[in-house]
Amino acid sequence: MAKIEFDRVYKNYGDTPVLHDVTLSIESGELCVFVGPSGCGKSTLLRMVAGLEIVSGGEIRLAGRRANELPPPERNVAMVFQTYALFPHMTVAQNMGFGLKIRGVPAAARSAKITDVAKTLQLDGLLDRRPAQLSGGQRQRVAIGRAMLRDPDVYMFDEPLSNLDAALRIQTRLEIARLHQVTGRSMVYVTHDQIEAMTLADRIIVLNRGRVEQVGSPMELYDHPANIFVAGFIGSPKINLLEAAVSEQGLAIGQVHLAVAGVGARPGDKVTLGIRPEHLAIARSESEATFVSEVALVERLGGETLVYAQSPVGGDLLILKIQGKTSLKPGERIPVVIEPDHLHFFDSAGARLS
Amino acid sequence: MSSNTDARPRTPGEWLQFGAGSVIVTVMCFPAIWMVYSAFKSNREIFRSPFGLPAEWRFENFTKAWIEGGLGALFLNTIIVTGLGVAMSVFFASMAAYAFTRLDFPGRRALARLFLVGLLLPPPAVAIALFTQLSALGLINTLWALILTNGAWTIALTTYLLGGYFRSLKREMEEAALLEGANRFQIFWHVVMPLVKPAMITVAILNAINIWNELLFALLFISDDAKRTLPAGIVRFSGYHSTDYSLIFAALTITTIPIMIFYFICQRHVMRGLTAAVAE
Ligand SMILES: Nc1ncnc2c1ncn2[C@@H]1O[C@H](COP(=O)(O)OP(=O)(O)O)[C@@H](O)[C@H]1O
Ligand SMILES: [Mg+2]
Repeated sequence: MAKIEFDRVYKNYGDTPVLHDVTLSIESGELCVFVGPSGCGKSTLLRMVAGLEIVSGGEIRLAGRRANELPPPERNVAMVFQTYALFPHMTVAQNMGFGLKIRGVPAAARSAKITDVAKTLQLDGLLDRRPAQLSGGQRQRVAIGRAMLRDPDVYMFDEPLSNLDAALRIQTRLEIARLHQVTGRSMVYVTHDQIEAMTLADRIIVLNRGRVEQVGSPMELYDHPANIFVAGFIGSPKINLLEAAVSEQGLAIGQVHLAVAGVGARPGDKVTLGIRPEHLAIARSESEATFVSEVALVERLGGETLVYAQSPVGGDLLILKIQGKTSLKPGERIPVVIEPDHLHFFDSAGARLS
Repeated sequence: MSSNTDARPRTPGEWLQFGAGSVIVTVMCFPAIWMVYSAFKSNREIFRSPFGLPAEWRFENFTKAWIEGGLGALFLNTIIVTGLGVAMSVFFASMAAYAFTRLDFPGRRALARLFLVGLLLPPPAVAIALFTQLSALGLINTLWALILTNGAWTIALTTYLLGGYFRSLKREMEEAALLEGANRFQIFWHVVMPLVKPAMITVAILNAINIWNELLFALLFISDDAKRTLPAGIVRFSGYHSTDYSLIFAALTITTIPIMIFYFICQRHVMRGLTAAVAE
């Protein structure tokens, strides 16, 4: 069991800084997801834990011990690469058993373990095939099997689902969640897909441009995003972000006045108002509405409907998520009501106002 | 890539290319073909009609050349020199190429450049120095003089070609092996070597051809007729038999044909290896 700690970790490639002052800890047995846009440094962070990249500054500790200079094999971490990194000249069995062979496990014991793991991953009939003769999903499972046979303290996954089709992605996601439950090992999982992060994670670390934007459980991030970036990145459909000014009575959103208290800013300050699509509703009458808007587009998802409507400040369309079905059509005018209990306020620098 | 797989008729430009290509191939191949069929003629016939086909196909020329030239012994020497020279150069060059592309050590770039100098040196420039060194080592007039010099001589090009191929390999497989607990040598042996096999076969073939045909060192470092390689042996042979060209042609044909057959058998590997190194 291993707790992973980052203590003021920096990383540069030559003169290019890639990670800045990363401090966080991943508890033993936790499934932690690094999420962020492409190029933000997720893989680099993961590879530093594995010992595949040199740490430029700060300290990484595994189970309380400084690991910066620890050779990769001694860290006892297993990694599933985005491209799977299977050995093309070896069979499935040889691929999975490579680590055991290197450590001198006798052939008989090796093959028993391989058969065991292959059975749990439904690879039993494929042990003599080579990677080129497998589908993407099967290759993925071989890569996971190779990691399982190591019985590592930490499993690491670098965008493991990005080469799979949608159905397989969901299935593999479930398998990884089950693997986590069964083994109880720490897992670090990297993805740029916030839905993957939300569904899998015990804890999410949101990264942007080499900095940690926020660390928290999926619901903490959803309900209390620390800044505009996290608010915009987590949640689908995306949060509505509106420029507003603080007034004596509450907020001025363009011509619309909203009576709210506790914005956390002085009158006259510019703020950004964040409203999740499910916290906008269609009022029964115009008198109950916060403002009236025109429908631009309706997306019917069956159980729920997304309504895109003109924003009171112009610019991006507002998104409303409505339970059930509706007969709304583009061009219709609707009374929109903002639920004041679930609003997010951000200052001009993008940080959350309490 | 060469066949016209789409049904479109060929353009005049393409016909021009084919024409030019055919002329070049004919000009390049004719001397070899001429050598082969002249080997069947008698000496007088060669002078009477130098380019005509033989009136009578004299297979006995080959037996005579084989026996009189002692080609059996020369063959054996050449095979030993080529085999060991190629093994030596591919063995060391693959490790050098791996080190240059994958390991980080001080002076790596400078050393890699120094290796490239080996590509630029003409053999005559170092022949005297090599001779002195080999004499000091007592290796003159032994096959080792040729094995070591040829093996070493081809290391520069081999390292260069393999290095290009190693660079094109994705590192993730090696990283996966590292995380599985493999050490440097195990990664090299179990993961990298199998992946670069096509490139190794390619450079082995190229080196085999070069070493098989090598003449300058073979003439300089060996004076004992029994220890000569084929090219050097043939040069001596033509000295003794300057009057009988049919025997010289027969001996030349015997020397050339095996390496050509070897090349044609292996050329698919060569093409695959070279294109793989360039692709990606
Ligand atoms: N070997 C490298 N040399 C130089 N820059 C690199 C190297 N690897 C990654 N980078 C840069 O570091 C940044 C972070 O990369 P990475 O960790 O792969 O991002 P992510 O996995 O989040 O997409 C990117 O801007 C990338 O261009
Ligand atoms: Mg990445």
